[in-house]
Amino acid sequence: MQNKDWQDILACLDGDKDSYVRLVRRYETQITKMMWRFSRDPAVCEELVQDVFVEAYFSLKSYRGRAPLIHWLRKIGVRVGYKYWKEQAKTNVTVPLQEFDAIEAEQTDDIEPNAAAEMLHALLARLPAADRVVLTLMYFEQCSTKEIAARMGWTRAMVKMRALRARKKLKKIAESENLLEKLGWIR
Amino acid sequence: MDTLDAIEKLAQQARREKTPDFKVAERILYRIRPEEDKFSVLVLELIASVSAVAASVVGYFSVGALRSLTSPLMQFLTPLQEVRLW
Repeated sequence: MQNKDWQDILACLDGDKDSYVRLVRRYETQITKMMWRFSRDPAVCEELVQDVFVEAYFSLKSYRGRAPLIHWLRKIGVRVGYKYWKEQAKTNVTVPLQEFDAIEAEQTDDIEPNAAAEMLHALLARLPAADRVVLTLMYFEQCSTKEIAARMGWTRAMVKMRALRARKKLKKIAESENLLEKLGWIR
Repeated sequence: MDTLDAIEKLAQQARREKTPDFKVAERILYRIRPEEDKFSVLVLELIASVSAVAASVVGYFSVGALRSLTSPLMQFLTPLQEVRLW
């Protein structure tokens, strides 16, 4: 753990708000990057980033410093995002792949990252929140099952089982939506 | 190519995406402060409630005591009732 972080945490617990501002500024980019996986709407994403830091501020007393602060913030972030998805599941709004333009590229590297992320996000949105969070962390954050289990407070066996089932579901959805036809580089 | 491989390649590209950059520090400070204000208002309300209860108890007992008291004004006028004024 960074010494600077620990100093700022102690100062913050002492009532110095400026030290918390320093912590926020140090990690807001990394947290924003992660929360962007939970919502691609800039306004919602910004709100989620704020929620993460506000929740972290009020739980700062419980932080023991065993792991780097960013790990702890990411754990809070995943839970905030998961809660947001569970709330969103009630409205059940998904974008069908037909609405996306076909990706015309001969090589994998030619695909525009933004278009790829948009499409993957839309695909994952069809899954239940728990399955979605597992695959989102695997695909976007390259998390191992151990890391996902730690972030979600689940067992590793549970994450493995969920990932297996979620992949099957995702495959089914992608085939029903003709994903391979959409991706020009597959031809 | 298998669908899952295609998704994997899609994910590879998706990870290279540039994400927006938000400056949230000021907004977070704003959101943190009202919580503390709410807390201090809550403490103030608690003290006010305790004071109100204490005042009610004192009032309840003092009503009986006041009833048994003769009015000080009457005590002042009573000797005059016996005096022939004209």
